[in-house]
Amino acid sequence: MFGLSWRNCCSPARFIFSRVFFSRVVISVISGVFLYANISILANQVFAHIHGRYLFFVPAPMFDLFITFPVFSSVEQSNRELIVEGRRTGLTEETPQWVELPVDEYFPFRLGETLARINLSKFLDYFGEPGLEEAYLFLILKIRERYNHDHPNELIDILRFSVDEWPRSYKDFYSEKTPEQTQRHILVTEEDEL
Amino acid sequence: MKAKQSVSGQAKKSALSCCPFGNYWFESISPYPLAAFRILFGVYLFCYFAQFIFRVEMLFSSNGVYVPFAMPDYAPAPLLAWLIYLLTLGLCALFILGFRTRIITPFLLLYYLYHYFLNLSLPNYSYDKINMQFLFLLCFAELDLVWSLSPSRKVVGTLEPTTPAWATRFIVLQVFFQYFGSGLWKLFNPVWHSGSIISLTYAGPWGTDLAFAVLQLGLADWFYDVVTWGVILFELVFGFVLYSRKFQRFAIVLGILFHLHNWAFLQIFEFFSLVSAYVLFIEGAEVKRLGERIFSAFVSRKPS
Repeated sequence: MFGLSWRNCCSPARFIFSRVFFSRVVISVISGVFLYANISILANQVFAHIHGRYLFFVPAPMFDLFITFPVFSSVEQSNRELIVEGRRTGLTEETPQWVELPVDEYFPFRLGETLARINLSKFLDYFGEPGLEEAYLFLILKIRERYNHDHPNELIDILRFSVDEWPRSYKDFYSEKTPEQTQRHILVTEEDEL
Repeated sequence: MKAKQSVSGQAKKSALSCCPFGNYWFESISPYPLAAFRILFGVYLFCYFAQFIFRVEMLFSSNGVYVPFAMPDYAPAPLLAWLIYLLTLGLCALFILGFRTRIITPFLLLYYLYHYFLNLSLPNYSYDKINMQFLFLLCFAELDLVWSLSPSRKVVGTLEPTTPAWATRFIVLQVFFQYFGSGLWKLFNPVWHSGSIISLTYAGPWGTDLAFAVLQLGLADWFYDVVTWGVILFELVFGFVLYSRKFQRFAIVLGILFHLHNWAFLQIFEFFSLVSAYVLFIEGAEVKRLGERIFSAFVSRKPS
């Protein structure tokens, strides 16, 4: 298989220790892994649809590297936008002052990408809830550090991520974002985590 | 010595001929498609990394906002982050020029992984995985035989240079699996059985002004249904049509238009790495002819 035959080349012993043989073994192993990953993931899709379970075993890292098909997997009727808020220091608990931080500065991406990033789905998939919380805490820490460094006179001590949600419209992304139609959901707050 | 090498080459060729799959994988083919892919994919990688140029400190330095995946926090100071970033762009440039690709390609993969695990892995996008798959496969390939600053081996006499087929055919297979798999996944996903997936995606956070302009035309629902099923059909058959000599040019134009649409309507240009691989489907002689025509056009434009 994969061109590993030694016939007509030289003695079997010489062929086995040759560079050609070694490189072909390496390429053959890589080929086997790639083919298995592609075919098994494809077949699993079909089998899961028909029988409700997977046919082939695919290790998680292999699945993660080769599952490149799913894009836009849900129909959403509402728009969402990330809101990052920080609580100013030096204020009493009764009168907390939350300020909105410039999201574009900390997440300089396309709108859709910012939302995809804030999900941290890879952390949830691999490390579960504890890993996800740890990742959020790290992200919060980095934003707070950066903000406090850039705004030494307006320090913040606690940070939270929220998501604004409003009906989707064909006119414009923000056309339906009115106070009446917009709901704010807290995604993660530092207080909860700590 | 030369005669001995020639005999050895013949022997290797006949050793392969006894095994059909070995022949398919390891037979000698034209190196021009692979060299053209190296240049196109290199240009793509350069553009991909160049898009971060105004955000290097925020994305890749310890002063920025990032979450390393499955790694300790290894973000460097801003100056070092800039240095590593510029080195990555430099590696892309050397990769395009075909300078010592046996060494450059693994380093390029390493630097890609460095940036990926530091920050780029957060949204878990398919195109990063495709790029890394391509780079990994190219680490073992002979990319610099032609159209290169430092050819790995000299071509003697008037013989056409050849390279083992496996790298070209493997990336071709990956491209095929990518389109076919996407089509199959959509075919089995009920969400993709209605045109609302297209119209509501246009109206979502990825939609561009152009997408909203099309939505405001108020086209009938059946139009979006047709487009949705058209996308599924396109993805399912695209890999096969690319193989067909008769319809290849048509397929290439269609593929480019598909990805241009994704860029213009949904801001997604990153899947152009797949477009750069279309050249691997084309016959070596045709790629050579086309490439030489382009290179000669560049040379003739130089001021005398």
